[in-house]
Amino acid sequence: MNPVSHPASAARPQNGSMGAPQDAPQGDPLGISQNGPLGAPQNGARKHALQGYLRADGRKGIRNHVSVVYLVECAHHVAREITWPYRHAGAHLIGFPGCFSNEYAAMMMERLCLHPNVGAVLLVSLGCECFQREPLQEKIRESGRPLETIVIQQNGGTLRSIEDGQRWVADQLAVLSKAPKVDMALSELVIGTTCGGSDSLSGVTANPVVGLAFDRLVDDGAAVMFEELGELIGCDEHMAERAVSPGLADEIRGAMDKTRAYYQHFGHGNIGDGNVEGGLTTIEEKSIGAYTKSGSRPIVGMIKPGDVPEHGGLYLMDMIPDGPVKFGLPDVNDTAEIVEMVACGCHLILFTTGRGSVVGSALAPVIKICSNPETYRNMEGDMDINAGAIIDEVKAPADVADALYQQVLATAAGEHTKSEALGHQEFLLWYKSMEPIGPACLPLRQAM
Amino acid sequence: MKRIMKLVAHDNIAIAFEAIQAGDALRFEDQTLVALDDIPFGHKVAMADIPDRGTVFRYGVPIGHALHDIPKGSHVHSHNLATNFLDHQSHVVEPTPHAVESASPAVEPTPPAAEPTPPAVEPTP
Repeated sequence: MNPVSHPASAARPQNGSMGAPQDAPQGDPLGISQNGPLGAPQNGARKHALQGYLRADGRKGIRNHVSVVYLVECAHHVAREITWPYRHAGAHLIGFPGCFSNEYAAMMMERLCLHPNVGAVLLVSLGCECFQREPLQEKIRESGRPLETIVIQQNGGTLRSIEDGQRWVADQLAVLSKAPKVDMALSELVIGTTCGGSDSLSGVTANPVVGLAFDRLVDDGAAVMFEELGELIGCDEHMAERAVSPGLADEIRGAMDKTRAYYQHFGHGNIGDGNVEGGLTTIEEKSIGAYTKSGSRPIVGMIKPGDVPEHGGLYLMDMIPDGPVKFGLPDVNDTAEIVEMVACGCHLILFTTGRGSVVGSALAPVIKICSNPETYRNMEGDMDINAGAIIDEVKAPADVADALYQQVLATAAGEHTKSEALGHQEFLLWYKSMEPIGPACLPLRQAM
Repeated sequence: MKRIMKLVAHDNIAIAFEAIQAGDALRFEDQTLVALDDIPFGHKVAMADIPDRGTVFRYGVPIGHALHDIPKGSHVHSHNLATNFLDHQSHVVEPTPHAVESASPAVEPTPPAAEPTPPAVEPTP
């Protein structure tokens, strides 16, 4: 994707003395039509081939973002101010608010900074936080990405840090816009799915449509993943049966036992009055509706946040913390789950909604699939795919799944999704305690 | 002809894509049947005779078992379908004082309801 400017990015910092960057790339206002034919069919040959940005680790990105990273909440404002004028031009804001170290958070920060959609990294540190920035700097340098670190306390404070940071971001965006691209196969894509603001139709329209698209992407060789173990309670045995090895099946059962214990601690009910009114009768029915996002292919592995799939196939991401209950709920909202899948290398996210969630994500585009035709009509500006057409216009789920598949290809080729064009960059990272995956979780690994 | 949809061929229920009234003719692909009950939008209708204790399939997988014989064309919901995960369902459907209260006719907001749909609100003696 060529970084593009946006009407909003013309809103330079108000204070001229801050050295407003002058060299932000100009172009198509929304960047939808002129992102370039990155993955466009070329004379019908290799019609599914994409183009991407090659990283040193061999992975390829479908975007070339400059990631502006605050290393503690105290540096958040400065990092946000640095990013703001360039938020439609390819600069994305991420970070960790905690002052005290956490192994999971440090690992997540590393995976996110080395995400294939990231082309350059600006770390913004207050200076006295406990977060260990040196190992992170080292990993970023090793990855070959341009890196700059601004330590606010050593850089004259807020104003100068913003000024220096904006100048660096502008320079990097200009460089990244000229970065060469290489051929990229569909089998190099990693795609995650989640749902949020679900309604009674989610499991009838949008979720099965994602499942059909997932099947096709798996057949193309891509790695796809689903998660939300709390909403898979009741699907235990069905998932275990889909596992490619008995050892993996046992790992899945163990993760589901952990999930039940974890949610029991919080006294969560899994099916509520609204679900019953909407026609859902049993917990396994509700879960299976969410589970349909996973499609029908075998489960080739179970991973945890930050684990990058080494080969194609369908993965389950176990995001339930290990050990005693600590730091609160497993994931406090949809964004926390998306961030964990992005840390697993997901290039893009398929997000189903019925009530009408508007969220996007930092670093990875989000494709919104709306289950409800009425919601789609009300919020068309936020929704990429109208799965409610299955009900409204009597479209076959396969036809809507094909539209979603084409949208995946277009998004991977650089076309902005609705949330992306609107500047959505939701991001949330918090404390967690996670153990590494068990030895049986990736049975195909050694065969590779 | 009211619209319904079955997601997987061997499912024995389909989903109402519009509100259905008892006696309505229903069709999905080459299957036709007559609704025996009123079935709200988004709810389930039996596409086959399901025997007592028989498994109900949606998306091709079990979503619970029949509490008694369910004739083809019936509304399939809490009154005739129960979870196979009793321990999880039981703590969720425990009647709250508020729910018990709302089951009394004095505050019943929907008079045409032919039967008390959510059994969860049945007061236990």
